[in-house]
Amino acid sequence: MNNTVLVCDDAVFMRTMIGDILTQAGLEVVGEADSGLQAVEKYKTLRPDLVTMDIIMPEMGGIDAVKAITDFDPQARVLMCSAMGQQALVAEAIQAGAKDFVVKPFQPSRVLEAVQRVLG
Amino acid sequence: MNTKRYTELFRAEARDRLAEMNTSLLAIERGEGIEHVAELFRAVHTVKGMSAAMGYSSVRDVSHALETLLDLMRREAIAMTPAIIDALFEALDALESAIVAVSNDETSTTDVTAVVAMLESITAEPSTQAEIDLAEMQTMEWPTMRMPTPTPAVQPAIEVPAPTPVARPAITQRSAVASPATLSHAEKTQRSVRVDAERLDNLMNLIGELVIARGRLQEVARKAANPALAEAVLHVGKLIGNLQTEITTARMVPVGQAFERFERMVRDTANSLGKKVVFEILGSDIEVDKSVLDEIGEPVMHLLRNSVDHGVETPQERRAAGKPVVARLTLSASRERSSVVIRVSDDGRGVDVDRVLERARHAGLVDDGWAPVSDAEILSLIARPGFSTTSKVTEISGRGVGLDVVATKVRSLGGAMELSTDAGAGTEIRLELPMTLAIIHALIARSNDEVYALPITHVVETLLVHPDMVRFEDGKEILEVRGQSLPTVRLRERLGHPVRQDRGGHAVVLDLADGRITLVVDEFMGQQEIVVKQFDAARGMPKLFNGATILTNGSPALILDAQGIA
Repeated sequence: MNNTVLVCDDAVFMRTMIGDILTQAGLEVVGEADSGLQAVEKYKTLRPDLVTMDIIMPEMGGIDAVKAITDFDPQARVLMCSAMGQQALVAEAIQAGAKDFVVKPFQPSRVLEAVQRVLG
Repeated sequence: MNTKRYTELFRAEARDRLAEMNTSLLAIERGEGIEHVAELFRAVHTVKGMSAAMGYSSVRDVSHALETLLDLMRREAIAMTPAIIDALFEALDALESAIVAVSNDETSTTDVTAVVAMLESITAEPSTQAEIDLAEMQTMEWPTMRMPTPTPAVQPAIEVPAPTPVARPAITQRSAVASPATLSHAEKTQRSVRVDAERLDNLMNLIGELVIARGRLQEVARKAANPALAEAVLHVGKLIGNLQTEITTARMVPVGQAFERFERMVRDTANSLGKKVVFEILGSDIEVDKSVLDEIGEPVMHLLRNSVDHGVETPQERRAAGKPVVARLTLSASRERSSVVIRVSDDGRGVDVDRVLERARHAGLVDDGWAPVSDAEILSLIARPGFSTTSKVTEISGRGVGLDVVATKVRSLGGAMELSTDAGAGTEIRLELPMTLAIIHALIARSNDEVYALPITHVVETLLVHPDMVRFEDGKEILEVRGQSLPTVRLRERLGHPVRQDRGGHAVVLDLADGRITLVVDEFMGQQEIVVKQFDAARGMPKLFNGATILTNGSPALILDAQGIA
């Protein structure tokens, strides 16, 4: 069984890129979300093994979404995908329950390392 | 990495975000609240992320500088002043240029140092937020992490380098799921897909071919006199009809897509003229065919510029006239029967009907003795070519190109333009446009044994020709229609057919760019909706036709070009 993943980012571009990297690594992208709110809803129905989460999104940002997801499922594995300059927010996200983070622009190898650590 | 795919995605998404940014900034300027700053910040942030991923450094640098400033504004560390808002508009322009440049040529770089420096100078106060070194963060251990630190044991699923067959459905699913968010106004949750417009055009063309093929098939089936075949053909025919309706609907886009950019243009125009204008857009969710929308952008922009430039008074003039200092300009879209109506209205000075008449006489458009029956008749002169004079050249409205250009464009799309005005109180221009250019209303005309379609766009009325209406002036045929002498064109002559000796037939009065004419045919056989099929006329062919169609009886017909006939 492949690990399933939910990709959350408000940009299609980013979702596509992250999705490609993960798919090539053999993960199965089972859903996408373009807002924190959607991420939480989709997590509940899809129950993916992994969530990649952007921080700056409309309708509930990534940090609140991580809180909501880990409240719902303390075992949830969320990987933050943030842009440069969001370091303080990343720390906050980790406190909120995210397991690890990668910084945009992504290097596929760096993303996969983080994914392995989180799924580890 | 499939670069081309990402380039396309970048281009489309960056464009959408830019439009959002302008909308947000305009809302900020109107003082509509801090949440618009957050919106603007998010859009800029997204573009920054994408451009960094693509390695577009000029786009990334501008968006980074913008984002830094907006972050401070968002946290109210910097107050919003008109100067800062202007600077932000300028930065959005620079961002747009940089995006356009990389979209056209990926390797191009735009010099953005000036705009970045400008933004940074506003941000002057260094961020209080301590910057943590990135490299350090990547290796840092997080005390709150619940998972154990990475173990050498690797998840097998991740090690598989190539996509397995199992992974494939995931791709399909992604492209299906990805789309709702593409239209990323968060409230849009319905399923939709982003499709290249060219594909839709191709589909539309193919369906046009299919409709023609259906006509042939029906003909064959009729001759074969086989009930089973006839039934099958009937069924296929219906399906093709449904397909046509579906694809036409699929090509519909909300007019708001074309209207968004006008906000910015009106603001800039008003500012440069020292005028105060509140601009309102109504009905931006009204849908029209993409082909119509592509064509009306320019004319509508022209009308808006005209309003700001000529209609709206300066604040001093408005005060003196006892009007509110801030003028109102409204652009609205609505649906009326099978048409889309676009109105541009202002509460400016209105059009001086007497001056219009005077100018029309001066330009030789009407005789001195011309006695108009209504103001509307006089106002319609504005749309005649040659009405606008070059006496008033401004940078805003161009060189003497006036409403006639707009009127001609609208007419060529099968629409109509109407102007109404109230001296001192404002002007409204109403454009009535078809919802699609692919399907039009046409009169079906017969000349000799041939059948032609004449779009009703230019048609004023049809009438039966009595030989006593006909007279000749300098060898040219004239038809007397209710006291008006109209030049006459006989379709038979144009097509090289022998002219009827009795000089009779059916005539249609056409309202063309340079006045009215009549066109005489043998007979009008009725009116129907036709699907336009564009074609490239053979070399040397007279410019009488601008397309072809299949009539409901399955026979093909050429579409007459009214303008070309005259």
